[in-house]
Amino acid sequence: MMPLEESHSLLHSFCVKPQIKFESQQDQEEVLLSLRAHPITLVPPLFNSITLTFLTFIAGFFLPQFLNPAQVFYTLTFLYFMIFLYLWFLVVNWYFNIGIITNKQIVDVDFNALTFRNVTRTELIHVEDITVKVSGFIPSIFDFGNIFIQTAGTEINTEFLQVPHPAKAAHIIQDILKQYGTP
Amino acid sequence: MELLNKLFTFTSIFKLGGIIFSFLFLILTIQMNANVSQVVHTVETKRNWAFVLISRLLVFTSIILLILGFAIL
Repeated sequence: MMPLEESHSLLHSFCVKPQIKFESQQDQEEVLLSLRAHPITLVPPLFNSITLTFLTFIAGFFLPQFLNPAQVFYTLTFLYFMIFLYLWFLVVNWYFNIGIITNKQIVDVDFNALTFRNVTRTELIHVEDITVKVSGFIPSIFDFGNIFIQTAGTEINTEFLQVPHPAKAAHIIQDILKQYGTP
Repeated sequence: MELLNKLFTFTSIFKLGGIIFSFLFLILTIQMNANVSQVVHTVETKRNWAFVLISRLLVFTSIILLILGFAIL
């Protein structure tokens, strides 16, 4: 196995030996890889928010015909705040939806700012198979896709969705499994 | 009918809508702040403080928006 060197790429969506810790991390447990969705997946909602901002700006010219200045101020503030909130939810969801691979286990954190937080842990010795799936035009161009990690028995399967360089990530996970995944 | 016309004017509906939506935003931001405050303990990174700070600022902003809603509308 090639020694893993610390590296960060694509807005910290693909980090080898990142400086992060997580709940229930054991002593002597080292985080070797962390994966988030590729930043390109944020572009369509970003485009939506730019369009909404533009429409709100245009609305600012028409609203004074129907509302008094204080109401116009309130309405525009409200709309800009709504757009910012939409963007913020997007960023928070992206940042905290993270897959962590350590020398002992695989942790998948699924997070939604409004509704749920789900943490799945799988010990390396229970991992049976790793599947990489890249499908579609945009994922092929920007090299991002899904990694499915199948586990033995009744344990929940883990999946990292739309992560960058999925083949490279799977290769690193395989190496980690070879080194640490044997009982 | 006249009473209904007086009650449901454009301005009164606008005021009511503004206050209801401001209140909904406040609930949304409080919920989001609670979730972010919990998840930063699940995954600890260098930038967690910024996420907590901005989440709290958003709750504060939505409170101001609600107060402004009562004052202006």
